[in-house]
Amino acid sequence: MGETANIRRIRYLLIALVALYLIGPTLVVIWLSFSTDEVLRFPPHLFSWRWYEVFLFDERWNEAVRRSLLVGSLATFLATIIGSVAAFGTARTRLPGKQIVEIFAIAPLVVPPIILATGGYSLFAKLDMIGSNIGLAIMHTVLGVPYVYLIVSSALARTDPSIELAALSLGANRWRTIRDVSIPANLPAIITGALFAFLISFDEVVVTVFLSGSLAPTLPVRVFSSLSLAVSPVVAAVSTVQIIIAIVLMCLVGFLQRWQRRWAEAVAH
Amino acid sequence: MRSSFNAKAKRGSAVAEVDRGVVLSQPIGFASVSPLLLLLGIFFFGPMVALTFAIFAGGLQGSSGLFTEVLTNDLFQTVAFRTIRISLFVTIISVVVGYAMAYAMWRSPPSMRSIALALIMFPLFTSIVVRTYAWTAMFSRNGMINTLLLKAGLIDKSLSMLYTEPVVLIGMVQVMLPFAILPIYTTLLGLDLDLLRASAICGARERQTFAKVVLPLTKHGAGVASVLVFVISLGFFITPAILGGPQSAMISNMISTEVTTFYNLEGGAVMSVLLLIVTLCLLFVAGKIGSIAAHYRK
Repeated sequence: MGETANIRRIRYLLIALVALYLIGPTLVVIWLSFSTDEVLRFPPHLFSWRWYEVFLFDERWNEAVRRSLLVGSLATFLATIIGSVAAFGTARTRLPGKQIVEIFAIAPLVVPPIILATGGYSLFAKLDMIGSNIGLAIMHTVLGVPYVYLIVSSALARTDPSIELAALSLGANRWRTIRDVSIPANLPAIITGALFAFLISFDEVVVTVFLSGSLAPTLPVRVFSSLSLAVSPVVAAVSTVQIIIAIVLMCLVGFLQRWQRRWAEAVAH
Repeated sequence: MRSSFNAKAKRGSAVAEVDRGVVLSQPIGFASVSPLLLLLGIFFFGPMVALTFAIFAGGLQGSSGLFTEVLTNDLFQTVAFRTIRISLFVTIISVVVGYAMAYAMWRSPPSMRSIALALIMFPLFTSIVVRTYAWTAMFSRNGMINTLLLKAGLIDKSLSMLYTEPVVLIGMVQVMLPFAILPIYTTLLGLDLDLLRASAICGARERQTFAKVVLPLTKHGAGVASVLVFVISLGFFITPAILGGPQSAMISNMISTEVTTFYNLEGGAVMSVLLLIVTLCLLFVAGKIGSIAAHYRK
């Protein structure tokens, strides 16, 4: 297909501009986090770790991190198990109404979070669960479980069930087949699902604000509420830490995907 | 005779197809999906039922009164129209820019494709709160853009850009753009390259091939992407709350204020249910477009 160098240049320029728009402001935040100034200003006076020190040693930020980790790990645990088991059940059994299960599993992705927040608030008020970490973790599970289900389902669709059938026909019982064949063959996808479930919980604001009651805020809620007051550079430091976590997780997910693909290929041969 | 043979062969292959994936028995299948259904039944559908109860607690008459009260409320109308307007703009910008970006990536060599893909995926991993905060750093009075404009001598004193609708748009499009690019890019990847070669052999230039071949074959994918972007935009909360302030509040912000500041749970519930109904209707439309698109691919 003949194309001029001009068209190619325009194309690369477009890609560069969109990429700049998508990640440029985020990179500016990293720059700001090393500022020595009391308030946000441009260009910032560099260089200091003082805002990282505030984040590390301030008890209120620590409490927010602890609470996020607690709720996040509980939600990740629940979402990973419930989502993976359901994905396995729909992919590897003859179950009527699979499509209904699928629609159920994806539904939390498309319903506006404020509906879950106000609805969850009235439900939790009746159940007396407002301000409970477990209640909040369950709601985060609802928001994270679609990711686990979708990721594990698509991995299961790509790995050949004949390896599991082979294990069964060679005399392994169902539990051993699942433990020694199904789980290892889909482990990268299960871990990827878990990472997403954690990320969702670690980023959730709307539902968390409504259901936290008198509890201390989680990390994203604390960042969110400090933004409506005064914008202090400590938020830039907190954000930078979150950005680094995001980069690490993204690399991890890329690695896991390659691992899963290699599994699927190895099984296919 | 022949038709019955065909039917039998078809049924036979269907059974083989199903049996191929069957590792465990049906009761275990039910057992494995029941925790998910239980979780979502109580904590996903439960909240919606609770909202409905909150509205209909005052009887049918009281509830219809609630609906007319909300629907005739001036502030609600303003916010509802603003929500639709902002979401519409976000959708148009995201889908047009997203299409251009997806097309540019698709026509690029594999190395460029994977770099661009990584750059698009990165925001999906970064917290929306963090990304919205980044925009306040850009647009605030002593933020980057004001500083640059002042230094360039284009303005005399810093402009107040935060808490305006264009800034909300900029922040929301940034969040929604990957959701527009990725499905369109996937649709483009699914195109039959022979069609493009045929078009080129017949003497079509890139622009003609694009208008006569690529665009007609991918417009359903772009349609599904538009509905999804619009639906997700309707429910935005964080971006308008931080970048918009009260003057650019969207419906989610208004619901939140009604419930948490005015303790008007009934009003908030009515607005939530209205938002839910609109969302579900639009998703139904998206499903219809999606099945039309699937039909075209065959």
